[in-house]
Amino acid sequence: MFNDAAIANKVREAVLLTSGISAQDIVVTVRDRVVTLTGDVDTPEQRTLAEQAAHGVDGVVRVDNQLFVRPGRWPPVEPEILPWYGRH
Amino acid sequence: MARDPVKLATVGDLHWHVDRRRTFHHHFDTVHEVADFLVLPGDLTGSGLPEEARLLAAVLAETRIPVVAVLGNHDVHTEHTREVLAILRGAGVTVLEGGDAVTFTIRGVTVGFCGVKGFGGGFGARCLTPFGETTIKSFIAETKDEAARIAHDLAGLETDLRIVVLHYAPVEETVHGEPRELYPFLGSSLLCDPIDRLGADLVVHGHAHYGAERGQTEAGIPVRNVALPVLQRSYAILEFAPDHLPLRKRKAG
Repeated sequence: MFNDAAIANKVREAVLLTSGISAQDIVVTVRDRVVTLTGDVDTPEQRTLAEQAAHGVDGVVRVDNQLFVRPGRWPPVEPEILPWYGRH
Repeated sequence: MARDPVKLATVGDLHWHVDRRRTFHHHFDTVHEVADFLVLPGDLTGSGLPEEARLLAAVLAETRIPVVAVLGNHDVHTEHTREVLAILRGAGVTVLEGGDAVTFTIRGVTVGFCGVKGFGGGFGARCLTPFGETTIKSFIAETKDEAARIAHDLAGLETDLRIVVLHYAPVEETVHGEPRELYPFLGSSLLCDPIDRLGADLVVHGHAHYGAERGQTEAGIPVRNVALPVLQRSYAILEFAPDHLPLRKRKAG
């Protein structure tokens, strides 16, 4: 049988080993075998790797990836041009 | 002569709390280089604590462009609302609560903002109605009251651009992606009624973290869900280019 605490330990280990994220930047919680990842990472790749690593742990049924990529590493902001209809 | 576009930077659901100090400290450092206004549609803080508001206020006080915001449900959670408002306003942030629309002039263009937190109730034919228990009536009465504030403000806002800022969603389209069971708690089409009736150029909101970024009202007014988890970027830049598009008649009020 799978135990949430044991899954959390394995996920934490897998994430830290494969994504290069430091332990202080990520929180792993597990409830009913659903893993939630929270914290802040440096790159979008780390975010994806962490999710993949969590998925790979036996017993995990779903991964809720709430990791934020730190703003300084986010993609450049491109403007969206909206219609401006003006006043009648 | 061509006029420069008006640009908004906007992001909601920062959920600023003590642990995020390091993450967000430089979030808005360069926003003045890319936008004329910074618009924050609610959930500025993690749980509405004055300490959280002070951390955010310290960052926003350094912002070199006008900052317009509404509160979200997280900002009222611990019931320090008056103190949070005072802290943010003390830092120069215009926090809208309804009945307090503001107008700015930028390069000769008048830009009006009105906003409220909003509330839930659901969308379209499935919108909650004031029937049955007192609690249900109170729930939907709050949403209607918020909608009435929007109507009041839009009716009096005579600016070139009119922008509505909400925390809760006014259309279903931008909550798509969330569990359907949550829809009634993510927004209400009652909030949209005055917007379509009185006209606006843009609605921005947050709250629906797993929703969709882009939608529109039945009248075709753009709606943008700019919750940070939806954007996955520092903020959205929304640009109005006045000289390249046809005029539209607003719907009569």
